[in-house]
Amino acid sequence: MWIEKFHYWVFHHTDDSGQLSIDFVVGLSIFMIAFIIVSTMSAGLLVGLQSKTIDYDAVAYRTGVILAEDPGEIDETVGVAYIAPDRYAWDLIYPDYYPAYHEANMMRMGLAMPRYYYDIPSQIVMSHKTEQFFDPSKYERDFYKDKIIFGDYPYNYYITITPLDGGQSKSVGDPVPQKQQTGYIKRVVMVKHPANVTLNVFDTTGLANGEMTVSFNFYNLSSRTPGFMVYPSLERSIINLTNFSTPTTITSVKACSPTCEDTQPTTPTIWIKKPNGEVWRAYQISPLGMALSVENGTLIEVDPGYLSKRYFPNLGPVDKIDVKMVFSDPTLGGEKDFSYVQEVSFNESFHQPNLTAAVLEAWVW
Amino acid sequence: MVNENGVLYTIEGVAAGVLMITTAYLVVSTTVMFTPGDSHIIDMQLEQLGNDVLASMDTPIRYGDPSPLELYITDNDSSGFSNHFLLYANTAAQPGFGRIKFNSTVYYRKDADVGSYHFSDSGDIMTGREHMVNVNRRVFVKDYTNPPPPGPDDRPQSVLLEVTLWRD
Repeated sequence: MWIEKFHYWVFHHTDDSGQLSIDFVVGLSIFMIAFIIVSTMSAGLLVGLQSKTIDYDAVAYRTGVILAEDPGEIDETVGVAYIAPDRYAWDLIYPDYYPAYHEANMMRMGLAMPRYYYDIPSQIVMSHKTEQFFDPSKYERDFYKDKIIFGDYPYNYYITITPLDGGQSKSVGDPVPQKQQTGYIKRVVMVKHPANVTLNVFDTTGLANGEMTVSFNFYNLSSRTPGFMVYPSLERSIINLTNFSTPTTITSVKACSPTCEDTQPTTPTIWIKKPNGEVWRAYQISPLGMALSVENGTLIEVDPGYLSKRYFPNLGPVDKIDVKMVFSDPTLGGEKDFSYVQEVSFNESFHQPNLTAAVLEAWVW
Repeated sequence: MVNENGVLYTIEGVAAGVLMITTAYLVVSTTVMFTPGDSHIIDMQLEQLGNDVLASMDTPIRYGDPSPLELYITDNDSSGFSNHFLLYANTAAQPGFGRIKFNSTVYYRKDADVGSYHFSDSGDIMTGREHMVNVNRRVFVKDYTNPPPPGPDDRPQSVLLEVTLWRD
């Protein structure tokens, strides 16, 4: 009954009440369009808030990759002069030698081993690079931003390395804020430590007359798999002297390639250290005319970057640099090699510390 | 007979159509917009960490030695692997980071078949509701003398170690 009435009303009414619904539809449409625009914009607003932490995470990730997988890079020439022993070796340009260029020419500070060989594991970093990178006296706070964080936005950072062998953790940057979103990345790396040889100073041939030569033969040293190779140009090399029977002195330390020269008066150079690692005296003993007393366990340490083409231009064709020491006792001396195989019967040995794991973390905000 | 009734209904129909389409657009577009923007970053961090840990464990620490990871698989030393993995994955400079759990499986080929066995885990039961990430590494195993039955043949081979990890 009421249905017919309704139909009649719908299809046969002729009053103007329909006009109202057009107004209503127009008004509702305008409202809906406005509402759609506003809600679309507010959704975009939230995305803008979200993308900030996405950006922090991306920057932290980039920094983590540079530190863990990249050897870094340096602009190796100033004008036509080569200042770097190697194009990746930002760590081997010493401020003593090139104070103005050492920081200006640096592009990136990566901690990884240079990739000279395809099968160098990607997560191996070098210990002297981490020491230099995390040395608070070395670089300004903003310098790190330019060389590992990048970006126009003034990001803050906190980078830390925690050795898993119980060593002391080190860090650079500001404390991480607790109430603010930060970008974070964690990388696990293996740290490669410098190798050392222990050499017997007693002269078995009777011909040395107090002169001891330790050869760094680059070709012979390149025989191991890349992750465990000794790189005399890039790493610190340590010679441990033993079997001094009577108190004696060392009167000269020179580097020969092939002619012998006094070592440099500034870093990088060759150091003489006490058995406990304390610096006894560095470089250039002979010009000063002073002899240093030595004992069992005296260390001869060669700085990373010193035994390189930068300081010994004949390296390459010659493939060999000798470190020549002269002792005042003529019964000491001999021809020795800084090599993987040593004369065990003389109590001589080659020792490469195990790789140690470390956790590298970066916060960016 | 001509009146304005038909015009009225058409406009209403068109308006309703526009409304429905814009509503649908609104719903679809806001759903996309409001997707949590950085869940894939968390995945990325976890994946990076897992890959780093496996790569570090698969690096020999001394010249000429097999890698620790190879030894764990050779000896089927699941607790050794678990301790080593969790030490690397959970060490963090500040509290609040870490708390990683994992489960792992080794896949191998035996003749024409691919088999697998459960290798190691962190002792946690997976409910299936965790936000998990899979990482894997091909481990070269030289000396497979002690595989769990019915494990792989005793021959030098590469096996696939798959680790599922998630945060607590």
